[in-house]
Amino acid sequence: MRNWYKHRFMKLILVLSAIAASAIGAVSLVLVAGVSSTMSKEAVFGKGEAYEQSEFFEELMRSATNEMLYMFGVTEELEVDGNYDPNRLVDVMGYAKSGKITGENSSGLAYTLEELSKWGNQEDVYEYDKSILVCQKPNGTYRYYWMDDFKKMFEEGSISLEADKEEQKTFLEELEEGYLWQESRTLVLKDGEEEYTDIWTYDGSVLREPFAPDGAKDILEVVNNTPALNGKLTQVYDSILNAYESISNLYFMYENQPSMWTEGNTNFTYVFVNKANKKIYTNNSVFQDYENIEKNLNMLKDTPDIRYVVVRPKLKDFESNMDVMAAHWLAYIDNNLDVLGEDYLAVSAVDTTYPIQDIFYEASKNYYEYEPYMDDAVTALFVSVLLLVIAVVWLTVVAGRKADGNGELYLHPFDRWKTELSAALTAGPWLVLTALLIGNWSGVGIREYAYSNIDGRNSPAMYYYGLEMTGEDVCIIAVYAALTAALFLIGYLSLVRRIKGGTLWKDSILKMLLVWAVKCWRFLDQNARSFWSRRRVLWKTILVFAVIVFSHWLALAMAGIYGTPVFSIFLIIGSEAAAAYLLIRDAIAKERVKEGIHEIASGNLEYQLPLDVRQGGDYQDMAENLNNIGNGLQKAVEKSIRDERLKTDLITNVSHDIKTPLTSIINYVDLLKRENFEDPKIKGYLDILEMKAQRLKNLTEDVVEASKVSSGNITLEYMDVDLVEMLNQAIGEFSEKMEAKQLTVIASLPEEPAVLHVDGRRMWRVLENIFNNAAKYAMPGTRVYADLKKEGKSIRFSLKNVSEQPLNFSSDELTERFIRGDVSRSTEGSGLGLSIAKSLTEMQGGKFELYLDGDLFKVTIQFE
Amino acid sequence: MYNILVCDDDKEIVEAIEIYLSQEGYHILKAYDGQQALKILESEEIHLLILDVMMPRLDGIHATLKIREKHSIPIIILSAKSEDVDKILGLNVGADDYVTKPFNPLELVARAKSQLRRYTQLGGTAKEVSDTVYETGGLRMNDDLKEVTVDGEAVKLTPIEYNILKLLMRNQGRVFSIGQIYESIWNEEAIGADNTVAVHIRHIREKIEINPKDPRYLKVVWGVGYKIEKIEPR
Repeated sequence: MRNWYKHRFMKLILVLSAIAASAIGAVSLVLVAGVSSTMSKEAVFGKGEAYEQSEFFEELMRSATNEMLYMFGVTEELEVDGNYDPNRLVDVMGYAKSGKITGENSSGLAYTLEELSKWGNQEDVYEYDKSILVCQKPNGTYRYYWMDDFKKMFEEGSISLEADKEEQKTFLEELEEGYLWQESRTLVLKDGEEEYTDIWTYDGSVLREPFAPDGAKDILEVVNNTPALNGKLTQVYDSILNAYESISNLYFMYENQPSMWTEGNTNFTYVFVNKANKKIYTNNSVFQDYENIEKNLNMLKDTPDIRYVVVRPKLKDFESNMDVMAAHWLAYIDNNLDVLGEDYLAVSAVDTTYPIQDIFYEASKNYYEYEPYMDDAVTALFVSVLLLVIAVVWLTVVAGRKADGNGELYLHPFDRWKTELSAALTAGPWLVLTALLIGNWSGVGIREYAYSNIDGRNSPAMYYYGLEMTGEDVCIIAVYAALTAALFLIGYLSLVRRIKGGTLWKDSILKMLLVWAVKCWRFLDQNARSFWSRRRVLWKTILVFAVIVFSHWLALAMAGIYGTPVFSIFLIIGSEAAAAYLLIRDAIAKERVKEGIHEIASGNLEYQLPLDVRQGGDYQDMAENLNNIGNGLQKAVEKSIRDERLKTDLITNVSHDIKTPLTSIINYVDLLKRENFEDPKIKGYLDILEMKAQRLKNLTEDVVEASKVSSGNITLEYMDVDLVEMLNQAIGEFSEKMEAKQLTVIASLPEEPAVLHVDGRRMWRVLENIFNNAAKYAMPGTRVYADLKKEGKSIRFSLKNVSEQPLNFSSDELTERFIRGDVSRSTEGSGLGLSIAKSLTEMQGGKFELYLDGDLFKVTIQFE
Repeated sequence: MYNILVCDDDKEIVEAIEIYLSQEGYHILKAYDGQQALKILESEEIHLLILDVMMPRLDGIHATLKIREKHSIPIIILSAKSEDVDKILGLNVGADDYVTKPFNPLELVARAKSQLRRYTQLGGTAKEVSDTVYETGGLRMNDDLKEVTVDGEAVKLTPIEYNILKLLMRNQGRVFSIGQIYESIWNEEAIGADNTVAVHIRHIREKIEINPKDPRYLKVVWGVGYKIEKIEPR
């Protein structure tokens, strides 16, 4: 079957095996962990090792040995010759120093063993309503008084203060208050013979005394009367505390010696021999005989199924039939040399046939209860973990794929739910389940074996644990693990499918919230922006100004209220910084916009204000609009240039087409004229034809030139030109034409050259047209005035003549005839000459003016 | 008897030119586009070609280029295109002269004659090399004989005109201002504005140029002065 590994039955099998593996794995894990932590690792990994070979067994044996040695130490300390004497004296100061009970009162302060062992049972350690006074003698020694006694004596007069009544009264009051009486005045206090120079209240805690010390009423008496202890009340108290605490501890252990290691209660045998005083400590009556110890020991060693450890002072004499560390045992025994002395024999042995059901027997039973399952449990643990990993990986790979699908991803309806909801739906039940487990199941049973009832009193704690795992426990663990696995798989596989389908984030509530938040923000932001940008500039300025003014007044008010200018300074600096920022920002933007306007105004229509740098506020709008204006102008200018060029091209092409037939007309009229017609009428007609043909020819040429010139569609070649020279040339060129109409040119030209930087040929064309105009239309027999004047850098040329015909039109009509095309003239020529001259002059940077006054016709050309 | 090929797509213009040139005694062959002109050039001996620019099939510019691959006959382009760029293009591709339409028939005849003279009479003859002979294009001045010829035809000049022309011919290409010319001819300083020189120059032009308004030899540099254009012999 193709894609069997994707098949739903395969998936079902995988899911079930994962759940089963989880259950089995969890049970195995608890079992292995429980056994290895309670008993010993040998039980788990020992490969069927016997209980007696385990560390567990040795530890139990060593602990028993240790405890017994410790107990004998306690006994030795409290007993004298095997008897406990409750009235034996303990010298407190000596005990604090050496830790030994001597039975002698050498320091002066001593209590009986019984008193000290019972002292610890007191409710209160300290006195709270008694206080002690310390009096200093002139020789530097001290004397303690009970406050009550002192007051009594003071009142009786046995103690006197050399002072007036008032002072005596305050003295007592102040003593009771606990003040030190150490004023600068000298104190003379008398207790009979004694005289004190100083007095104060004891500043330590006062020990409660349930028992009186040996041979005295109380501790104060001892301290006052013993020179060695003079003034050392605090040290004495500490020593008493120390002594009664340790002695009551020892006594408690002595009284409560465990019975579990006594003969007949245990399979454990101990024999401790102090060879110095031939003292034998044992729980086996066989070994009571000192003389036969070695013989009996050999017998013990030969007993079958016995496990023993024999320790002597030298490591070489160590004997054992167990796999233990000799040095380890030796170190343990060496801790208890108080009991054993320098030369000793220590024997520990356990009868492993366990005739008595003691702790060794119980532990053995527990060990063998679980040990046989350990191999299987470990195997099951590994196999189930492996199985779980395989199943999870497999399911991860095939999640969302179907065996009969063509690689498409199939999402379970559950996967369409919101991510967080699904997560809650899987994690929620698991948390409930876990809570139920914790609340109702106390965990796997830990069986406690034999323990010492002297716990917490410096004795070795003797807890031995065993495992107690019931069938119920197994069921709970298995069910919990299975349900956990099932919920995990549901959640995990859905997660995998979501990731594969890319819907993890898409379908999440978080994303929904984020998107919503972003939308809200955008909405608010845009509305705020558009609200702000719709406001008029005036109102914005007023508002900003109002805020700044308000913050200053507020600062002033705050300074008054708080009485400190700190906040006000921050507020003022803040608002002024904001004002400075706004002003500078606007100034920069204004500068940019101004520059942009200047650029566009001066003809750089391609200039665009950089919009990527935000201008701030209204200047952004202004900059954008300015760019739009620039663009609009640019487009208009481009279109106009294109149109002009089109117009010029059209005119040029039309003129070419006109010229060809015109050529034939001119040629054939000329041919006709050569035919020598006699009839003057025909001659006259031919002259008219010739004249009009010539005019048409001039017109076609001038129209092309005029259109080019007026559209600026020509290239100028600039050079230095002397206008005086050019005028001389012009007058020369036109001399005959002028003479033909009896015109006299009166030229008034400067001596020095008048140099212009213009296109020589174009400038000549201007002069030619002007002179031509004069030659054509001036009244015959009159004078034509040509004046050239230099005024600084300005050069001004004018040509004046008297018109033959009335000048019944305006100067504009003359120069803009081509553009307006509304006035017709009947004389020869195109009438475009002046128009061309004007355009050419202006193109070269000059001014061209016509002045008409009656019959006076004046042309002025001016260059700066 | 020279053969002139006239080529224009406008038959009337061709016929008019034929009439004018026939009266001068030339034999005229006619073509109405560039291809025809090339064909005729292959078969006939042609001394001058008058060629229109805007023609069907093969225009005048391309025809000129093709003709110049094989022939060195003078070509006068006759075109309605009167812009400077058109003239420069026509002359650059190998035409010898450029006449714009509508043309003055007499001018055309004069230019045709000029080209033919230069091609047939002067073109082949060896030039006398002498210090006293100045030459540019078809203009020639023999100072020994005090003789000036344009395309072999004598021109009559006044002494002042002759001296001015001699000054310019001896310094071909150099521009002389009115003042400089005046000083060197009259040997006295030019006082103020004077157009005497300009008038003389105009007269000289009328005598040596076919079209004084569009001079080939004596050029006006407007606002600067006058010069004789240096034209290298072909």
